[in-house]
Amino acid sequence: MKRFIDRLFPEISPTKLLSEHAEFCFKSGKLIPEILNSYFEGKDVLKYSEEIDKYESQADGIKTKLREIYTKLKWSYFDRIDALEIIHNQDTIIDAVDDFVKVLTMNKVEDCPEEIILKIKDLGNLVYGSIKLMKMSVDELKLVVESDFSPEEILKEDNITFDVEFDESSTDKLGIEIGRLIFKQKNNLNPVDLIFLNNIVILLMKISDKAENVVERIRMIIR
Amino acid sequence: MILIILAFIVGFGMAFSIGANDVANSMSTAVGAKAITPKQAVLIASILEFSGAVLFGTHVTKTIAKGIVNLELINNSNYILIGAFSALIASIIWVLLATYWGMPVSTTHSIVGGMVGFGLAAGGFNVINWIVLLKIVLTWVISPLIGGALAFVIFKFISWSILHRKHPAKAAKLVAPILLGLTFYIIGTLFVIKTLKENMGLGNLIGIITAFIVFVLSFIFLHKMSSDKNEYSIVEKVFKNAQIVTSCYVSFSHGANDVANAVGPLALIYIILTTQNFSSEITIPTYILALGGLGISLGVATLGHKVMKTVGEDITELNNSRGFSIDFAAATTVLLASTFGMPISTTHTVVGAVSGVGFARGIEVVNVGILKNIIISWFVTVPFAAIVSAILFLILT
Repeated sequence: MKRFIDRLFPEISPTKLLSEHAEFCFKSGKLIPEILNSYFEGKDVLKYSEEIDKYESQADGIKTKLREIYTKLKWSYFDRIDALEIIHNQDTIIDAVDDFVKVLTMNKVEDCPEEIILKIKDLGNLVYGSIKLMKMSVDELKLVVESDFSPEEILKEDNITFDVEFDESSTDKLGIEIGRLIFKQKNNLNPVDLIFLNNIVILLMKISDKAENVVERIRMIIR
Repeated sequence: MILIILAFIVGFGMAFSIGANDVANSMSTAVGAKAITPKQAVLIASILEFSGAVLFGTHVTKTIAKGIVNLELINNSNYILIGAFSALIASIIWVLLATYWGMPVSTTHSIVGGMVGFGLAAGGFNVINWIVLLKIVLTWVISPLIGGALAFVIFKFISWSILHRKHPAKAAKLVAPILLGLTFYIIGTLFVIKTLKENMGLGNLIGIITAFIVFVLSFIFLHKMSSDKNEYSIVEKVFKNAQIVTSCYVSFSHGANDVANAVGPLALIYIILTTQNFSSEITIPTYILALGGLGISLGVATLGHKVMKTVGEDITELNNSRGFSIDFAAATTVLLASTFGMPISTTHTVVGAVSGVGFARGIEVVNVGILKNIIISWFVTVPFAAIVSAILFLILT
């Protein structure tokens, strides 16, 4: 039985839960370059989807815990909505990676030019980089809290945000460049493959966008 | 003679129950923040509760024994004897029932309620010293607020002077000794002024000397700590060491205030039986305070470990800089109340201090809903103990 004083504190800190959840985003993101390599080598990528499903279910457990903390405990300096929105945005990253793998299993692109393959792989690496930075940002949030919002730590958080924004902008530029390259192939490639490849690029760009949403939200709440 | 033996047994039992149950609440933040292990908490509490009771326990004991009920107006030593005994028994009944029901109650509120009940039954409204009672009730409201405000200020000071510095670890090694020096300044000064009844000048001099010695020793000790880790980890490590001292401070203050809950009525019974005089200024014999202190220490040593372990395992999200602020604020508030003879609840003061650090953005989430339990405790405990005490008094007379 919990005693009087114990009930004052949460069982686990919300920022720790956000960080644990972000770890699953990171693990999913880490698979992106590997998935793209396997796909363009003609291997089956369905096994990755199963792995991501596992991460998704573990991440859901954390989300429920966070929701419970904010339901039971009344006072906090992070607004309940902000914390839940951050975790929701993190969740959409895992969902988007899962969607990306599932879409890849639907079609096999034949005779794709090497230049496009390389660029898509680069895009995959950039997206993974954004997620990695997002994880860093969530971890830095713990330090911001520990330091009672010290200007030094807030500056570090700001710098990570700038890096993610830069990454996201690079992803967009590369995505557009790949899109142009893909549609230049309209006379050589199957139209279905063209649209398929373009969808893959858009999905990857969206993942990076979601990572940016998370860090932007974090930046807003520490201000 | 039978009554005095019975009173000693009951008083000792009450002290034992305070030690077994209540001490864990006051040490919870130090155990929860992993500054000390439950075993170390038991050892610290066993020694410091006793010291606090013996060195500072007399002030609150006097208030419980003679401050709430105007004994001169009852003017019947038998009534007073039975009344003091009824108050003690009523208080124990309520604490046992509340523990059984899992309600967070304060032994302080129980014993005050018990004394009020006996007073009303023995002599009606006129017998109660309403001014003193009002002061006590006011301190029940004010103590969590003061604890909260003090914790807020201390944490903000730590934040400004350490956490927001360019090199927090270096700053912690200087600021923590200052705060520890301040702790000993408060204890030293209050001891000289309030317990030894010496003048303020001497009190301040002794306080400053003690504070300086503690500052130098802790500065040397903390300076030896390695600085190769993450800055904030070093800050927490510094406060982990400092919190060992504040956990002693909390235990000492708790002993100083709560011993009266067990030995207040007992002291009254003893004084009447040995001197037959209750009208003049009473002096609490040191060995009665020692008996109470021993009861608390024995309670902690035998049953306290299990409770402390439970508390320590349940509080996982508290680090040492926050724990230090809570302990310092709670202990200072309780010790100050003790020197003014005000019986307050250490647990409620700790709750106030936790909320204070929470409002200073030191703790991510605080369940302030728990504060309603404090109010329930006031409105349920005092009337219940008073009614039971009055009924017991009427039955026994």
